[in-house]
Amino acid sequence: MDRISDLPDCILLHILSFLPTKTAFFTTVLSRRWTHLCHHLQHLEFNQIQFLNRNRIRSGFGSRERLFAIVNWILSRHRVPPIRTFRLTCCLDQFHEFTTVQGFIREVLGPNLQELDLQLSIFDFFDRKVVIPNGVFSCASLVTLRLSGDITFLSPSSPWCGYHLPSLKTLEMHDVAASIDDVAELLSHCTALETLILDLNCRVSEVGLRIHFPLSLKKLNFRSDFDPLRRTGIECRQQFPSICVSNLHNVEEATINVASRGFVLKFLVEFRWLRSLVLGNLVFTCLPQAPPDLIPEFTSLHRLELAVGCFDTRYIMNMLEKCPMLKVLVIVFITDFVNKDPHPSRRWEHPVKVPTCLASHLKVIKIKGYFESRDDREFFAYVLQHGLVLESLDIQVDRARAKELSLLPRSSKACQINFCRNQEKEEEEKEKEASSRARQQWRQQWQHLRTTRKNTIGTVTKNLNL
Amino acid sequence: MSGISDTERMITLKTVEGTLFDVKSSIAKDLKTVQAFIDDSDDDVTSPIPLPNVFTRELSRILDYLNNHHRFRSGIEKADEEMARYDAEFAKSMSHEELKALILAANYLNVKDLLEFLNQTVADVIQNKSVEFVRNFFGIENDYTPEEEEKLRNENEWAFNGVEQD
Repeated sequence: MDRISDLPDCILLHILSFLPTKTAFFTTVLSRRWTHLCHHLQHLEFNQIQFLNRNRIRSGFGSRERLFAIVNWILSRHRVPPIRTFRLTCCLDQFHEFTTVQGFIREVLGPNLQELDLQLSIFDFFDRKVVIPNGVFSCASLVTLRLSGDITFLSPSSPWCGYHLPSLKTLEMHDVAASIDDVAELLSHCTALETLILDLNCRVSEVGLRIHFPLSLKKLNFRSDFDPLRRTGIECRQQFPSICVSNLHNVEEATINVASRGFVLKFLVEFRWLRSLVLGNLVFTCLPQAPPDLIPEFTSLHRLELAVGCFDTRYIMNMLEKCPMLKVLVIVFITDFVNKDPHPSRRWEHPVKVPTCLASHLKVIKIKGYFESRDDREFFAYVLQHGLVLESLDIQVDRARAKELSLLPRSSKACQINFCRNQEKEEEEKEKEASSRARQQWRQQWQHLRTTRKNTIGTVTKNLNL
Repeated sequence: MSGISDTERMITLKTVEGTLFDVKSSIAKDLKTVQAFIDDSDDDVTSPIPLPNVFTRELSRILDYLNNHHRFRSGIEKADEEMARYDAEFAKSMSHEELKALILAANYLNVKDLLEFLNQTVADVIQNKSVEFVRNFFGIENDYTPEEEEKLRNENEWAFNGVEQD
C-alpha cells in the first residue's frame, strides 16, 4: 500500500510544534531530513521539569543550568525562520538567573513573535520578582501573552514605557505582582483584546478603581482576592470609594470571582449581551446577602454557573429570576467550605412567582460536588414540578437518594434525571482539566517547596536569635 | 443561484474514485480550498467540483467530523464534553496509515480545525516513544550509519534522557 507519500515538511513542523522542544529534538536522529527540520522550529517550549536528572540531588540547580544552556544553544543557532512562539516554565534562584531569562525574552522579541508564555517561580523568601522587559509590552506582533508567577512589570506611567499591543487577542496574568491600576493602564493599550484572564492577589489604592476594558473584549475571567488574609466565608472589608468598570457590553462569556459585593455588582451591571456567566466561590461570600433588586437582569444569558458553599436555595432562586432566557444552570459545591447548612435567613422559601426561565427555557440543570442538606428536597421538587421544558438534571448522589429523587413528580415528560457516581465524575473532570491542572500543579509544587524552605529558614533564624 | 439562501445551497464534490458528495454550503465554508474555488468561480457552481487528491474514505471522514462539530457548536449547552468524547473516538477509530492519509486530505482541503486536531493527535502518539516506533509511524528510512547516529545522539544527549529505550 504505497498510497501514503511522505507528509510534507510543513505538516511535520506543525506536529513538532505541539511537542515541548526537548521532546521535538529527539527527532533529530530519525533521518537527515528530520535533523534539518528541528532547526526550523518556530514554536519553542521549555519546561524545567523535563531537565531534572534521575537522581534528584540538588535537582533544582542542575536542571536549571541544563535548561538555560539548551535554550541558549537553540536561540543562538536560530536565525531563520523567526520564532513565533516562546514558552518557558522554570524556577529561579540567583539574581543572575533573572538576567538570563530577561536576555532570552529580549532575544525572541521581534516583529514575528506571536505568543509569549512565561511561568516563573522564585525560590526564596525575599519576595523578589522578575521584571519583564518593556519590549514585551510594545511588541506589535504579539497575539497571545501569558504571564504567571513571580513576575512584575514596570508601571506604565514611567517615562521608559511605550505600551502598544495592537495585535494582542489574549492576555492572561496569574499572580503577577502588579497593581490593578497598572493593569488597567496596560489594558487601555490593548485595542484588539478578545480574551482576558486576570487572577491577581493585590492591593488596590484607597482612591478607587477605574478599568476601561477594551471594547473588543468577548471573554473575561476576573479573579481577585484583594485581601489575601481574609478567612473563608467573611466578606472583604475593603470598601472601594469609587469603582468604575466600563466597556463590557460586548463580552459574551464572563467568570467573576471577587470578594467584594460592590465590585461584583459593578461588573454585573455592565454586562449587556452576556451569554455565559460563572460566579466563583469568592462571590458566594458576598453576593447572596445583596438585595435582589440590585442585581440586574440578564436578558441574553443562556448559561449560569454558581459556586456555592452550601445549598443556599434563596441565592439560587434569586439568580434564576434574573435570567429569563436561561437554558443551562450549573451549581458547583465548594467542597472545602466550612459551614454546610445555610444561615436560617437563606433557607428555602417557596417563590411568589415561578421564574420565567424555569417555565420556558431551562433545559439542563447540573449539580457538581453535591452533598446533601436540609433544603434540597424542596428545591428539587420545585424545579421538577415547574420546569416545563426541563430535559435533564445531572446530579451526584448515592443510590438511596437517587431513588427518592427519581420518584418526585415532574412536569416535563422528556426530563431525565442522571445520577453519576462520584468516582466517575472525578475521573472525567481530572482528564478534562489535565492541561490546566498541569500548570496549576507546577505552581503549587514550587509554592509548596518555597513555603517549606521559607519555614525552614524561618526556624533556623529564630533558633539563631535565641 | 439567486433566491436560495446561503445555508440551504448544496455543493457537489467529486473524489478521485468518482464518488459524489452533496455538501451544505455552510459546511463547505470549512473546506477552505473548496470555498476559494467557489469564490473564484463567482459563486456559479453547478457542476461537481473535482478533488483530484482526495479519496472517498477521507472525504467521508472529514465531512463526518465537520457535521458533528457543527452540531455540537449549535447545541444548547456548548457540549464540550460530548465533543471531546467524539474527538477521542474519532482519533481511535483510525489506524496510523489512515490517520496520515486523513492529514494529507485535510491539508489539501485546508480544513484548519481538523488539521490542528489531527496533528495534535499525532504529536500525542509519538511523544515519549522510541526512535524505531516513530520511524515506523512516518515510514522514515534511516539514512544515518550507526556511527553517525551514535554521534548525533551524543551531541544532542540532553534531548534523549527520559525517552523510552528501543
